Amino acid sequence: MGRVTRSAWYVTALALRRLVRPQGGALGAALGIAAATAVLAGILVGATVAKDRSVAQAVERLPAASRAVRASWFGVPAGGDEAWPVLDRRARGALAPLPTGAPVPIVLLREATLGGAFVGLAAVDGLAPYVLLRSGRLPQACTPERCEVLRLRGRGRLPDVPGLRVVQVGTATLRSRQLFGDFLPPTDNALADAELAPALARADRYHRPAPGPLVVAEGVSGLVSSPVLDRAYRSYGWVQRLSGGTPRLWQIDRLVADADRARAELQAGSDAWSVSVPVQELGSAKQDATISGRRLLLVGGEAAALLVAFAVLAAGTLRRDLAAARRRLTWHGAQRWQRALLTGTESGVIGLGGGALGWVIGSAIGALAAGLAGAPVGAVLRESVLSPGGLLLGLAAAVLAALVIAVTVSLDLGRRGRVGPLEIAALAGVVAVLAVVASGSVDAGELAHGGAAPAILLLLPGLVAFAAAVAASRLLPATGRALARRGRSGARLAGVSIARSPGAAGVAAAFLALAVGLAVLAAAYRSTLQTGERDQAAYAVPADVVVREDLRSLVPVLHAAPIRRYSSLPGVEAAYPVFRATASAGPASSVSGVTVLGVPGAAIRAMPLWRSDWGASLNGLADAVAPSGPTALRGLRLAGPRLRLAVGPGLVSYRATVRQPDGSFRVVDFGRADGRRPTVLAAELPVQARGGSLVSLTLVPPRIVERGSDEGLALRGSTTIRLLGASLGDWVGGGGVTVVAGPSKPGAVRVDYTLTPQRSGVLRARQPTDDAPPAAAVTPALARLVGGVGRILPLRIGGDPVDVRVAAVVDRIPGTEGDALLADLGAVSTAIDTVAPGTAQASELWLDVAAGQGDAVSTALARRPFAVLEKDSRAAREADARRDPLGHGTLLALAAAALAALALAAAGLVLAIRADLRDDRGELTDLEAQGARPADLRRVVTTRATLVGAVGVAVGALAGVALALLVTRVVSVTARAAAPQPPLATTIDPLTLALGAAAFTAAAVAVVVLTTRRAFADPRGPGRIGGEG
Amino acid sequence: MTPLVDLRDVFVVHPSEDGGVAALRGLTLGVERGEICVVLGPSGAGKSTLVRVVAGLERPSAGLALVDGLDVGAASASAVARHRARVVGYADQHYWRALSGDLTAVELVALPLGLRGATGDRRDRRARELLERVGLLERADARPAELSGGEQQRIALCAAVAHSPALVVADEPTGELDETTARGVLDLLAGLARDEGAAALVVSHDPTSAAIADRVVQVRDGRVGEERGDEGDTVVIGRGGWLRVPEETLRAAGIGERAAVRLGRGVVELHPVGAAAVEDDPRDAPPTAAGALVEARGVTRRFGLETALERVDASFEPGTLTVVTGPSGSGKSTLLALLAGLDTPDEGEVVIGGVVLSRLDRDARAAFRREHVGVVGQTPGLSGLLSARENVELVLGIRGVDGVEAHERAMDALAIVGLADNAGRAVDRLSAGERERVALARAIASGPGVLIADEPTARLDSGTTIAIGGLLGDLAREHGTTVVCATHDPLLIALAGAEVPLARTPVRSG
Repeated sequence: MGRVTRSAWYVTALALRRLVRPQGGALGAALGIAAATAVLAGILVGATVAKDRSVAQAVERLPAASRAVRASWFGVPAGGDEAWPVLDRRARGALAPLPTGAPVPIVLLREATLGGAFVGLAAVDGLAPYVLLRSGRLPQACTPERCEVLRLRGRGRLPDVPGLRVVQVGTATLRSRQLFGDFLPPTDNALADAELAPALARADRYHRPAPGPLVVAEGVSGLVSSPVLDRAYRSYGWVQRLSGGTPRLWQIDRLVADADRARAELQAGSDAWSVSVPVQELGSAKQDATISGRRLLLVGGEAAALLVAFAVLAAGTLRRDLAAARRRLTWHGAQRWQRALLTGTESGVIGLGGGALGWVIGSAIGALAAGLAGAPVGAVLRESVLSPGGLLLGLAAAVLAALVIAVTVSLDLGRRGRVGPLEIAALAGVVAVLAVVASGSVDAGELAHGGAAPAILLLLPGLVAFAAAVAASRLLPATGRALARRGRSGARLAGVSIARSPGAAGVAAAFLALAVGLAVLAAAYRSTLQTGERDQAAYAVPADVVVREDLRSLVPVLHAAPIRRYSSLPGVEAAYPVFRATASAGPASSVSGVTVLGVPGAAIRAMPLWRSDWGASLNGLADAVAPSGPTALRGLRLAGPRLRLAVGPGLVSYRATVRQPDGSFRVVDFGRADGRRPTVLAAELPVQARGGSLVSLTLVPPRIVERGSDEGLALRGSTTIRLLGASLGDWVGGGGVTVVAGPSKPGAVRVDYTLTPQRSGVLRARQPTDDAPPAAAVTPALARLVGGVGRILPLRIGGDPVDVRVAAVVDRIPGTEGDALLADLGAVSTAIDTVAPGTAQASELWLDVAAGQGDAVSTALARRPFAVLEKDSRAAREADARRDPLGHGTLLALAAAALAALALAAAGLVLAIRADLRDDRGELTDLEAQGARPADLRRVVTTRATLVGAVGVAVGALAGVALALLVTRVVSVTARAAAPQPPLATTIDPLTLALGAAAFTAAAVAVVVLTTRRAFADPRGPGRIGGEG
Repeated sequence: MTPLVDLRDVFVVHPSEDGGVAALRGLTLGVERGEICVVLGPSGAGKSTLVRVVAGLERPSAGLALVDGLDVGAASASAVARHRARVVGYADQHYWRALSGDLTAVELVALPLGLRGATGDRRDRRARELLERVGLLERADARPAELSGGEQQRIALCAAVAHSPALVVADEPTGELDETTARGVLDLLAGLARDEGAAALVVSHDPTSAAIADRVVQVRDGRVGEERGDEGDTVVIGRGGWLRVPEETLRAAGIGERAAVRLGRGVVELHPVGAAAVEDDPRDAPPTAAGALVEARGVTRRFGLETALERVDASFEPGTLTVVTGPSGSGKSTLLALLAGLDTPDEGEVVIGGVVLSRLDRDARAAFRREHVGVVGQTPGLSGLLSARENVELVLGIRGVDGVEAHERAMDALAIVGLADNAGRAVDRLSAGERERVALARAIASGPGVLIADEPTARLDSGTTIAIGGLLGDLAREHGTTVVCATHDPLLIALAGAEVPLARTPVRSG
């Protein structure tokens, strides 16, 4: 061994001896780094578990028919290569590499007359788990001689011929469509029958012939070996079922790749093969999980920042001792590399040792959490902390900690009055953060695609916290110097103490600022996401429960039951009809897809979510759109059973639109006028329309069928119209009809008309909205179209023009997305019904539910006649959010990060106080020699710790709040990795903060009291007269 | 032949917030190979900076500094480090700072060899050889905390020469040792240097250090002022013809701020012009409590297996400056800690003015100290950030004196120790001696009846020592204060009214 090697070993051994000294502080430093690294490792494992559970839930949510990997073969076997055993072997071989287990073989023979019976035959290998037995027993294995079956549906005879004797042993339904998928139409599966509107159900029965029997046997090979079936067309399937946990998150890519290979392999021999995998659904689930996982980088960034900060703190506490050792070595002739080796060895052992220990602890905690969550522990660890990337991250964290310690112990932390590299770095960090903020937000898409977004999340907390830490490290010495000069008694002595070693105190304050800042960020961001989830629910469902038409059953809400039935449901306090339609807006339909919401004023005031920054208050909004007078649709009251209309000569047909007493509209045809002389047209009123009101008369031009080109010519003319027994004197025309002045009988009107097949003219009652269009609150883009508040905004709803007046501009309207407008229900309904009678029907009901009655209302709404409707409950959405593993995992990780940060802050305080007591014992002894009592000395140390804590906590709290605002602004992703609607708003839960502050204060007080009491407990005294000792 | 150390017009300026502080101001000095050169000078003269420059621990701001041919001002840091490892052996003024508390004596001596890649056998052999040479072989496995100051300094010297350097550099090697131990350490240093064929550059405030010197150099204000060697005393002519005449000489000649120069053949005569040098204007001491009789009655103090004091009886009269003397390790500091109530004896008792201090609890002793006892430690805990006055006021605050009264008392105390003009200067900018005086001012500002000082002149030059000693004597005589000093400084001992000698009798039991 050469001299250089020997001397290197010597220095290394010296460093190791120093590390094992009980008072050296290395153990505490290593443990702190271990704690921070453990958080990092725990987050890695936790994120993997959360993502895996998210994928599992997504798979469970897939439609049963597509929740499987399915290899299929269709056709009539020609023997040889297409015999069942050969196909089965090929399919199993191709599917074997897939991580989804052994396939379940099935066969379905298309309905056909077999052995004289029209029947559908199916078979499954291992039938029992897939059927729900209704009667009888499970069948034995099928053979051509006796093929026992379960009847799934239909009636009729079963084949009973030599070579295929089918014997029914029971009835059953399939548990799900997972096995046969689209082989069977939905209605063949009892569980897939949705409740239809009575009319649809009747139509369905009318149009569908009675199905033949469908039976299922046990065992594919037994059934298909029947010679009777030789010519039968069949579908073979080899089904690998997917479920929550199959596949795992990390198996998705492999599953898709293996399925592609299997498809290629099978189709290489025959195009009768197909392999289906829900690639898109699995990819989407994985993407959601990835987004959420990447957002956890925010917490990872916190942990990394904590790690670095604790390393700096640890280095700060080791610095003086290590500096003395380096100085001694210098005096004894050590060269630079030897001093660096000493520093590097000590830093390396502390950083790497602490990092490795933390990785193990974090992995163990993560494994425990994975086990509790029901995830496969080994696989989760292999995919997270033990994966190459995970191990690299752990190593990087440990190396980073070691480097930070090595660099920090070499820096001059006591320097004052100049801007150094730390300040420049902090400034650069702030500039980088501002640049990120200025560049806009990171949405779910960016998170999914990677790129710079994840790096931003990782760095954002660190950069801001670092700037705060530097600020705290500069603020504390300044405070100390000020107190040293101008403070009184204990505070002055504490100030002197800080001023004497500003570097160590500054590092402690910096660490506290960083830890507290990150804890506040974690707590605030957690509150923000939680509130965000509630807000998402309240925004999407702007009442306790919203009931609307289900597009599968097509029963409007007020057709299912009158509104009083809803109001009288137990637990329902109020039921508000709401009109929702899609319109285009602007002079030339500049904006399409505008949501028009007509809501009663009371429902507007009762909306559960409104943010002041969106515009007016809820009451202000309701006031703004409230109509100034009555808005009810006007018309001529119809008392009798008949309508008689006296019209002048012309080719025009007439129709009357009657608003029935129940609020619906009915069109009554009068027929065509005589072309040459005046006519009195008569029409019978349907019973439902009697007692209603006539709102309009429509002039319909004759259909010209001779030549298509005639459609280009309008029908023009003029006529007189008089409703017998009523006056049309104040009616107005529209759609090519113009009321003109001139002599006419009382109650009659004279009109000019210009009609085309595309446009019928209307003569209608004057409505309250004619002169005062409905007031509406509109989103900014709509307001800009017409120039702002007070202007008229033309809309087209279903092709009919409706004007509204812009009464207020709001950023967004609950219950809508994109551009929208909100108006009073009565006013907007009248305006719409005026131009398109019957269009403004309530499409939703908003129900206010009494506290604690949500379940009762849900139960009631699940019964007839409400069962056919779609229900959306705010509470259900919130509960769904709470159950979501991604959201839950994110919130849990943030809570853990907050707690870890606080714990590390307390640990940092312990380290700082112990370092103070160790490094300042000479000064403390001197103070005692000058007459200070142990209690005074404790007060000095306590005051110093309090100053450090106060500066650290104050700066940290500010930084935390700033960080929370920044993060909310920059990361526009909800807890469940979706785009937030409405945008997240930073929420700082005062109770959480108060609890955190109380816990930290209690821990800090305990730490300070215990540490200082022990330090001055010796009844004899320090035993020395001053000195550095 | 080229000198081993060749310093020419070396300037060293230490940066500070208030501007640069020049520690060396054109110092020129040479040390030949094998020569033992002792550099004397008052505190603040730049001695330690000189040592640090020669040892390659600090670079000159200007000038040439050649050590064994290497320009330590121009060479790279690595080259200087390699050079230091090969050429220089260094002994710091604070021996306890130079020794790692974790290592045994033999490991401490072997440390430089380990750093140079020596094998374990060679390290151990050489270390034990040196320890035997200095009489500490039987303490080879002891750690610094188990050794006396003198023993620690001897081990530090052994470590400095372990690798047989060409130059041994020692900064105040006897600054914290009693006279006997200091003499032994100096002889040892000289012997080790001569045996190893090394030159030695020793800086000290202690004139007795000159006994081992081949040449003595006086440094003042960062320049060499005098040399004393075979050719007798000489005044050194600096670059550009500047002469430095010792202040004592000028005062003896009655020369104040100006002197008339008269030339004769080979003669330059200086004659006083105007007023003579003005002495510091002494001010009244602050109101002082009456002194009290301080007694140690059969006190014994043990630290683990070591007995630092055994059945010591001592009495310290009011109005008397009493020095506690004895070799290093004799328990002087321990006795003073007991007298100050910072420790309690295992046996016996400490009585001050009839109060049995050792029976009081720690709080009561602190309260007693506030009222009656002033303490000056070896390394006072002054705040470098605060001014001298603020440091004094800070301690007065602990003693319950605030505001205008504290200000006045602080100014009075600083005037007494000759720092009235520097009262507003930050302590960081004061020299070691001035800081010692600030510490003394802190102790006397509250006018205690008992003043206990541990080695108050350890790092002071003789002039300052005499001034401090006189001050302590005045406090005792004029104000009746009981002044107790642990010291090994003969100048201070000579000024004392009484002496309590302690024998070095540490006993290891068990």
